[in-house]
Amino acid sequence: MTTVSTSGFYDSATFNMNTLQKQVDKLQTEIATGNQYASAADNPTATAQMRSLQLQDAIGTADTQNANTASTSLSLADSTLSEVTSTIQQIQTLAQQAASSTLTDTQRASIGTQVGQLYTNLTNLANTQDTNGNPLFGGNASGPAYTLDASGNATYAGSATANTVSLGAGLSVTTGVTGPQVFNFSVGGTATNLLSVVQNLATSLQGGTAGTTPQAAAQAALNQLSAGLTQATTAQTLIGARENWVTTTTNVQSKLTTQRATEESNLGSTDISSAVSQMQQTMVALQAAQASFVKVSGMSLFSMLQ
Amino acid sequence: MTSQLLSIAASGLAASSAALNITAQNIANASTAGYVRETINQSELNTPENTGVTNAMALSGVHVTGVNRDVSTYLQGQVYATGSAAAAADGNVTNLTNVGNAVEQSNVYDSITSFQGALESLGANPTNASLRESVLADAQNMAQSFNLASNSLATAQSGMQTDASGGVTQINQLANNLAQINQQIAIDPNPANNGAGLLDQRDAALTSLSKLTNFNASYAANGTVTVQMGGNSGPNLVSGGTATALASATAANGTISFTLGGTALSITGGSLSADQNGLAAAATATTSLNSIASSLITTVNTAQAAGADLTGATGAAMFSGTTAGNIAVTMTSGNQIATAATGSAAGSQDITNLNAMQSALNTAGIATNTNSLIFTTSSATASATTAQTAQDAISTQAQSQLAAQSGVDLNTEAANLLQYQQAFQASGKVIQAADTMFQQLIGIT
Repeated sequence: MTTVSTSGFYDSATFNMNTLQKQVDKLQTEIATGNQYASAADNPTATAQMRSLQLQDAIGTADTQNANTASTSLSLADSTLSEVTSTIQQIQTLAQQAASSTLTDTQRASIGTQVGQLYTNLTNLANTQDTNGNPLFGGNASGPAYTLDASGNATYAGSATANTVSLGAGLSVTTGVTGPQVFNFSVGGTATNLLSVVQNLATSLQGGTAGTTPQAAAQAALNQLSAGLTQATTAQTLIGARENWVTTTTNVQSKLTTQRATEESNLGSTDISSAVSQMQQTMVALQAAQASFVKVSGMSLFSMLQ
Repeated sequence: MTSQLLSIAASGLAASSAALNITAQNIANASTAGYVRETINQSELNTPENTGVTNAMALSGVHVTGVNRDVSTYLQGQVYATGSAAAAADGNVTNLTNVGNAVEQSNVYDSITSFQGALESLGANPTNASLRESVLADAQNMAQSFNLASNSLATAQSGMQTDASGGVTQINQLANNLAQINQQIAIDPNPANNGAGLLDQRDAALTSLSKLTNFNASYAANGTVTVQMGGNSGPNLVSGGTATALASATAANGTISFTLGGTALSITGGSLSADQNGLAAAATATTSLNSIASSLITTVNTAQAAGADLTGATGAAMFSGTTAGNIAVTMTSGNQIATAATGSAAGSQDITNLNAMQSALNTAGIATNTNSLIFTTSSATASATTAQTAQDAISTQAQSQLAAQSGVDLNTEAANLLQYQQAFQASGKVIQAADTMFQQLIGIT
């Protein structure tokens, strides 16, 4: 004879209600936390992918900050180079005046003093520091980009190349230009640099150079200044192109970030509407199981025997 | 004639009373785990040799021949086998979850992520003191996370070892109990006496044993049991009145092995096998974690030695130690991080060496290998959880089949109670009738 034993009935009813209760609990946790998986064991593959994305996120966040830093340095270099070009233009105007035969040497000497002042401005601009106190045109070096000796001659003290910062996704940008890239050029096959050209001009106009007249020196300087202006403008164009590049990569980075966020959400976020409806369904089943358990367990022959 | 009527009625009273006792016993044990429903065996009593006159005179009432303990050893075997599989599955989930959590929740992966993020940030501004200190702080967090993971694994291991040695002690106690029960059953195999109680004790011991290990039980005609540990072809744990001692040995890497009476033993079920599996998983995870930590230490220190720090000096080692348990940060200042190429001047913004360190970390696969380690442990837990759900359902099914076959149904017992009560009352009426008849005879004057 096969009967349903009383303890067997209670055991299996408890097992079934426990199973439903566990499902309800799990769904409730998913809805409350917004995460489909409480631990890696809930879905090893999806959570492994999410961890890879997490690493990319950490690097991506750093890269976005790096892009901002690069952008700041580049725009500082850009505005400094604007100052440099406008100073060169002022010197050009002064040299133009000094080259004219209508001026006396005394007047040229006075112009020479003005050029000397502008030279000081140029060396200051060449030694501009960025927001972190590093030289803007010194490459990788930490000290001033140009050192001045006792007689005011400027010598480049920085490194040959500028820093390159990683912007993520295999992209990078050189965050600055070096002093030689801004100031060095050659005229008629002779290499020279803007700072020494301007300093020589100032000295010559004040009659300090043997073998040449101030007027001739001014005339000779015009070509060189023009070449110097071209060089500085070229450097500024380069900076502008890099700023655009940073903007482009920032856009790429933010698209990647959005993409990763979407992927993470697809992998591990709770689909609230389906989770809620599933929970509702499970709760209906649980309530039905509880109600029927109470009714069936109350059906005992003993309760009929009075 | 009246005296015969009285004795027949008295035997009926005794039989009903015994049946009522059995019913009461069944009702009282309705929810006792492992209790097997008992029924009464009774037969008609004829004693022609004593009376020897006519057949009618041979009637002597009813005789209780014994208590029937109605259980299928096949279903019991199923309950033991599925029970030990379910206990192993439960244990596996618990143990593998502990091992997985040791690595996952110690935040080793998160701290590696932060460290690599901090190195990436340092690239934008390599001379910045706060960025350098943040790299160093993240390195410290990372080293501590490795220490924590290593300690948590060791804790999980020692927990499993304690559980296993407790399990071995319990099995030896149960084996001795079973051997003693076997001896008593062999002396007194009649269930009409206390035999049913002994068999209940035997089955309760086997049920407890099934939570600890898998085994094969075979029964002799007189009810004694032979227990083979580990299955059909396993060595005898209990045979007759003899129990063989189980022992466990712990290897250097924390894994355990078992011997029964000095012979190597392999088991696949029960909490003991779950501990064995869990300890093997913990040993593998520890090896992987140590190898990641060692690779991290070597990679970073080698990269440090190949570059120049903020003062222009050759980079000092960042980490000391060789394993996840003893990795520590030896660097005292962020300025010692060698971001620049060797030979760079003090304060150089060169990041050649920093980039080299970052790509060396990627090549060594520090983050990837940690991710794989977590994937491996969590996959093991996930498949153990799937197995647990299935095994629990199978075990519950086997238990309810056994319960249906041998458990107490209170409705049946209620019906029996009425039946035996009525039988008792009827026998009482017969005695009353005998008495009336006797009085009638006495009254004849």
